[in-house]
Amino acid sequence: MKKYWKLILFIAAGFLFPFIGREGYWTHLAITILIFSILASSLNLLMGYSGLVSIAHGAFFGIGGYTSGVLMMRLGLSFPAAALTAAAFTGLIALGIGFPSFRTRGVYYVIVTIAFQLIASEIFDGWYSLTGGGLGLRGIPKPGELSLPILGKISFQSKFAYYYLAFILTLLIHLGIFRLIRSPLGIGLMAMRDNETKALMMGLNPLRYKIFVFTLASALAGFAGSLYSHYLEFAHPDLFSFFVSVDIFLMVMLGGAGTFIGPPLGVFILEMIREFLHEFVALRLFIYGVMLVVIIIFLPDGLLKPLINIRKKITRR
Amino acid sequence: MIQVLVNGLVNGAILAMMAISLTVIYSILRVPHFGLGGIFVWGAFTAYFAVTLWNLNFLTAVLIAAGCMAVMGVVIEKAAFKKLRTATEDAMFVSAIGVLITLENGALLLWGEQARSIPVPQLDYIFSIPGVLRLPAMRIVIFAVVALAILGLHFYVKKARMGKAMRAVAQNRVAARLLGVPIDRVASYTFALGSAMAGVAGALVGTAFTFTFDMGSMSILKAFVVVVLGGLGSVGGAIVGGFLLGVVDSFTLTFLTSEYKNLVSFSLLILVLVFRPSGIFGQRLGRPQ
Repeated sequence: MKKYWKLILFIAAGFLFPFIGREGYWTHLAITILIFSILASSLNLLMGYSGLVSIAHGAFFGIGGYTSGVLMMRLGLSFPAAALTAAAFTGLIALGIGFPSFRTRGVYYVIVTIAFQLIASEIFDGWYSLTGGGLGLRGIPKPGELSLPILGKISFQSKFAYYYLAFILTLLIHLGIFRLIRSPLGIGLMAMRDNETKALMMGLNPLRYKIFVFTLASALAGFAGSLYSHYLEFAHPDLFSFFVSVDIFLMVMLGGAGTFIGPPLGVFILEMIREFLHEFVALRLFIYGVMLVVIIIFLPDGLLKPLINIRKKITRR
Repeated sequence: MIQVLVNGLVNGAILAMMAISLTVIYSILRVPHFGLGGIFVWGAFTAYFAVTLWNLNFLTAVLIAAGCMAVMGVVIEKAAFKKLRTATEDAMFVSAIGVLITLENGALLLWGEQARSIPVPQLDYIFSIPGVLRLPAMRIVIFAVVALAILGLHFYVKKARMGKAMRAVAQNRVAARLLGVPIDRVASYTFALGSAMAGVAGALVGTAFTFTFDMGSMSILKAFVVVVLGGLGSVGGAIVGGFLLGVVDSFTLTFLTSEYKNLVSFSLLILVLVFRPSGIFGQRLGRPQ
């Protein structure tokens, strides 16, 4: 039990939070942080545990968001069905992209992902009849009511209820990711990241691992997109643009790629910065740009690892 | 038809120039310097202010843009890339994206988001063959300047002492260093050269068309498409690739679709990277490492 008290404290705080935040702005911020944690942690699966730098996460986020919204609006699917289909569809697209793109390596792979992101942005913007183009997709419904045994009927119209939906799903996804990176599969991924040739020699199939993790991470991003667009009741190309991809990338870099709680920490810090500078988009992006350079030069492991090292030094004395 | 072709060639000349600036830095220092997109924007702004505030003539303004951007390139090299010289290309690429975002949004912060155009009344003359071709004089100037810049670069790299040092570093950095080539100075000169070319390209675009703070990221990606098309590290390939992509873009825009105007070039990028990573004109050497 002693080992888990921090986790339990955190979950308890998470469950109690909306009683402080209520319907106010803080709850909104918390929901955004939760959804972006899913994004950052799934990108971390790629960047941190598999050594695949991707700047296309915003695109998959958007594909999930639009797919889920369109499915619910046009076909009248229920939210769980729409969200799962959206995630599966995003994964399928990632699978299609993954096969050819893993023929490239290093910077070339990163550039393929950027090109994919820009193609996706252009399609969000241009496919007017389906996505609403530059006006955005308006009127995406919130998830329908849910009947639970003890709590009775829950409507997700309020931020309060939606927070719990996002919180529980985020917890479950993080638990899944945690189990994954401790499993033989996760260890295989890390072996591939550290030395691909060696992993190949040990009998692993790097291509299969890469495609698996890319598909999984993209499907998670698609799921997060679905949560996001149903929360905002709106989808717009700017919400899933290249700069959003860079945001997510920076969140992972800042927290520390390859650490489990680093990326959510990065999300928290960057969302706070976004909060303080929400009227000054240009200044915020300017700061993000400088941060990218500074982090890659001085903190290539992110914030978390140096912090842990400092703490170890202090406790040792 | 001819009009579309000529428009494509003009765009192609600028793309080729950007692609060459990218190629120069990449082939000598192995830095995938996407920050040049930001330099491109700042070059346009510098030339704009040189013309509007100080009433300089166009050629002086272009030279000032080149000079300022060269200095800026060196500063960026010192600040963002010098410490990463032994790092992976991925790390340098991330740093370069950081530079790109910083420069573009710096320009937005300083000068706002309205579209501008560098006014050069002397060049308002338009050549025209009725029904076939309309060609503003400025676009011919673009060709001339690009040709001059490429020739200048060629002779500098082939003849000058520093050019030889650059080629030595490109061939084998460790050996060059052992023979006493000062890597830091070569890096500064290379960044200055590449950035000056990108700055001139920006000034040309700003004069012939309009420019905004965010044109850099798109054009540097296009330039990268060109570099990949032409085969990495080959200046000749960059020139041919530039014209090719310019023409392809121009035809897509006119005859296929204007909504998805970049779709074709980016799909081309992915296809070439995946199926022919050494470029259309390069030899088949297997995958790039």
